[in-house]
Amino acid sequence: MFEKILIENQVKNYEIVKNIQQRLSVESEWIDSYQDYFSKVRKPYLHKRKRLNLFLAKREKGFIKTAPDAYGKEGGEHYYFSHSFNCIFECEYCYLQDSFRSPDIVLFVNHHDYLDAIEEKLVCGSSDNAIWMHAGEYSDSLALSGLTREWQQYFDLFSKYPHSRLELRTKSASLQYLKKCKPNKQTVLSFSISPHEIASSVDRKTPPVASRLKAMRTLKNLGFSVAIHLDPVVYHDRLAELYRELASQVYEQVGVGVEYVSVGVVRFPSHLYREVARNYPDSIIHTQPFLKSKDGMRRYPKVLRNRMLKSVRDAFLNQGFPESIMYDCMED
Amino acid sequence: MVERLKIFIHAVAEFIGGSVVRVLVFAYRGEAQAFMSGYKLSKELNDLYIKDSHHSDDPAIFFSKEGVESTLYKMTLLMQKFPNINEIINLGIVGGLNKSLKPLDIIEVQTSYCHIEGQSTRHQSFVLSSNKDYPYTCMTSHLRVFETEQKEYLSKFADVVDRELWAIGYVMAKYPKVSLKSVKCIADASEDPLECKEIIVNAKRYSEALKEYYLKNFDKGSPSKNQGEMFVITQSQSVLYRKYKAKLLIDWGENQMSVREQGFLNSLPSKMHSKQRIKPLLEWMEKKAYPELVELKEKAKAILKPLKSDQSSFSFDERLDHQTIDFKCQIRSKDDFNQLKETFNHFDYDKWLQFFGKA
Repeated sequence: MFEKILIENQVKNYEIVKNIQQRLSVESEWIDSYQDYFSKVRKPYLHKRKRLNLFLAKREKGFIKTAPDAYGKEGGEHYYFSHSFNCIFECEYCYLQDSFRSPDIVLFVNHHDYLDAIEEKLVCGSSDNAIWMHAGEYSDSLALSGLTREWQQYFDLFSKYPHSRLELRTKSASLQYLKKCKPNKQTVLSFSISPHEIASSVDRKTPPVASRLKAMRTLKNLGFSVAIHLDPVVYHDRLAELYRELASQVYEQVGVGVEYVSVGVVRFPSHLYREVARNYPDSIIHTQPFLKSKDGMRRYPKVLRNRMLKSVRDAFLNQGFPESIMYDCMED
Repeated sequence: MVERLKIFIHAVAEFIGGSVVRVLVFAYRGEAQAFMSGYKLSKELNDLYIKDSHHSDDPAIFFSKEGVESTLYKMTLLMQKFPNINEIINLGIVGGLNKSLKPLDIIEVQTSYCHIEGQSTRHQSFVLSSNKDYPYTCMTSHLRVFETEQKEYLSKFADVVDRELWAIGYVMAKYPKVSLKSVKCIADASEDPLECKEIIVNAKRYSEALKEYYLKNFDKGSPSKNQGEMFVITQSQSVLYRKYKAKLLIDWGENQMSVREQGFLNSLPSKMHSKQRIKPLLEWMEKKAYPELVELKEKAKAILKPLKSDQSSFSFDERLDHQTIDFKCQIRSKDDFNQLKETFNHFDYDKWLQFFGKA
């Protein structure tokens, strides 16, 4: 998976660093700061296939940020935190193609600093004002959890604050580590899924949708809360039919008892769209009926977008998912 | 003498006006010596050696000289003077940074970076064409790299270090239709650096290694020109045509696409010339590629139909993104006014809003 591990001198004695080194039989090199190397040159995105490096570093500031409107389910205060940059999966529409100048993975290992910053916010929560912390903005929350094994300490923190919620967004089906963790009511594991016919085309190197659904079922049985992100929805001539099939599969595997179902259509800022064209010139993304909207985004026309969202929502509503748990993600 | 001059002028003319031209770019003559002795090339023309026989397929050879600035200048001149160049292959020797590379190893570079000095790099990088699986990277340094500490730093980014490639990439980025490749021979390993004198002494060996690799992998004819579009169409029509075609190729496959497209074109009146054919073709392709979108457009037109009369007309956003209706009317008399009132009475604006998901 990784060609090299580059470790900051200031974290070399961290327990988590030693454990990661042991689990990966890859050459380690010592550096002063990951910022001396990461994103200093524009490393082609597709180098992640054969020339991916791993940085282990300490984050100094900016542990949590306020989430934009419509990021999460309505209600409460929403924040996000990123203790890693970049992702081992490869989805053709992914905004990470344009987020950094390099696809190398950076893992920030000073979790105690993250936990302190998060707790400062959590103490302000109440029954009228839940505090949401979302992970997975710049990476997949669980893809490397078997390697890093950091989440239990977060679960323990959130279990102390009944009005807090921790959302981990993922496409992973890897449960080795999570099976050993103690679930709590505050943690929501939300899985991004789409119909197999679309996912097999655009979600490269991700676990099949069937595996993700199976993982959701297992986690639910273990006592975890799960949620669904139907995001991004990519146009297909048989969209309604494909999502009806997906809704049926979700119902069979997981049931309707999920925290929420969010729906969002695919959209691209212009510069990201150029990267997609460069990296995946044969992608079905380029056959989509996009237009350029006022804010410079490539989006579906409003009428088509509404129809798509309705088809997807209806597919799940008709399967018995309550309307109260459905919301549109990042939609104006 | 006159004959020789005629051949030379012909060669230059063909180089300028010829169909496909490949240029091998080296920094120094020492690197190119095995190539120079192998090909029949005419006298230099601003560091450019071109074939002196119009029957020969030998590539041209160009010397960019050492360093980023010199290479930028010379490559810019080359591409401006000879716009028919179709392919650039940079060949030369490099210092090894990747410990797995040994002297005389040959690699094809896929990505080029640039180092300025100290711990300063340029963000911009260039990706080159390569048939090889493993994406080797090259750091072009503004200054010669001798210090071990410097090599250690650069080895975190790239496999090899040279003085020209990034500059070639910088110029060639302005010519996206020209293929750019780079083949490098390792002169010294990362842990065993050679002095410049030793590199010069060994230049012939490096050059021969490059020539052998070139003949084995590249000397199989030049790339062919683009076929060009079937129709004479505008840029925006061309974008639409390619998009619809890409979608229909997925839906139908290549054979069906070809048959159906030709079938439609044959159904058009024979009097139509090619410029007139493109509009109905695009409409037909859109209907087949995005039937739902076309159906929605028809629905929008049907909702707005009551607004059309002898005195009025309308237009709307056919992209179906905004609900704004542009309405034009002429009121010359009371009758016209009453007619207009009737027109609006028959128009269901709530239905229009519902169509946009606003109701």
